Amino acid sequence: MHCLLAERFNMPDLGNYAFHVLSSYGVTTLVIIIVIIFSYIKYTRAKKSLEKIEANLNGK
Amino acid sequence: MSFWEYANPVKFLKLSGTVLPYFSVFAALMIISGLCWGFFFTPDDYKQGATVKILYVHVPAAFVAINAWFMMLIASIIWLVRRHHVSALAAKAAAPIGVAMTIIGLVTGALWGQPMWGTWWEWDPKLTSFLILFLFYIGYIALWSAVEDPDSAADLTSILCIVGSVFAVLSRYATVFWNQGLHQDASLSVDKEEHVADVFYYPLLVVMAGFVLLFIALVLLNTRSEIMTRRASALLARRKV
Repeated sequence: MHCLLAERFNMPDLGNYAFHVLSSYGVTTLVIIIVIIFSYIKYTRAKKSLEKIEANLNGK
Repeated sequence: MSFWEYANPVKFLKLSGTVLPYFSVFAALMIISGLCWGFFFTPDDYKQGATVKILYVHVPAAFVAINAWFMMLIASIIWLVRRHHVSALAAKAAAPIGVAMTIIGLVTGALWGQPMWGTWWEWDPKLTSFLILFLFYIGYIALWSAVEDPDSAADLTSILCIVGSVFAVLSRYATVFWNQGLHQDASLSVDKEEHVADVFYYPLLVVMAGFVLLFIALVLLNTRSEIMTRRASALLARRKV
């Protein structure tokens, strides 16, 4: 099973273009991960802040 | 049931909370499977060699970058005409994702251009209008931050969005309008004869669908954040009064 997968996902020969192709995929992955993390952190902060304010108001 | 019901923040939060996990999971599946398909299982191009694999990240990112601006344009017009706050916040929420996609488009374009054209950058009509679109994205985000009153900020950014849409159109159709420069015509077209060969086309479609789903998921998440932040500010203001 492991051998079959490894055989199928053989690294293609990128020749002289390896830097350009791999950098493109690397930059894309990095930027997408950053934007997902940024959005998620913003969401959790907004949610916590709203819950805290609502709890304070209800407490009063 | 009307589409406009979802202009109600409570209904929007409820619906977006339900659909968000599905969009996220399908986006991840489609992007990963499409990129694996394109990277490992498609041949090199007879002209461009292995650099054709950059197609699977460059084209979807540029497609989303341009169409994100059109989504912001529609949301901005809805705000100006109907004054639905959710639409203004959705436009605001889409901007950082548009910036990210524009950065990917510019960087991967340079990485593709260097071996194929012999230069990282050229003041070609398509590239230049795409760079101006990037600057409009930055200006749009800066304007939202600069204006304190949210309704005034939404008005001003909506007008900026309408102006900037000229460059979104140019980014898409510059090769058609000017018929010059280094950039090739669109890789995708309704006319089957015009787009890339099928062996590249199908994995590209899968990645593009994944990028579109990712964009929708992130817009929903960011719009939820904006609604919650706006509600928190309103509650704080009410408490002060």
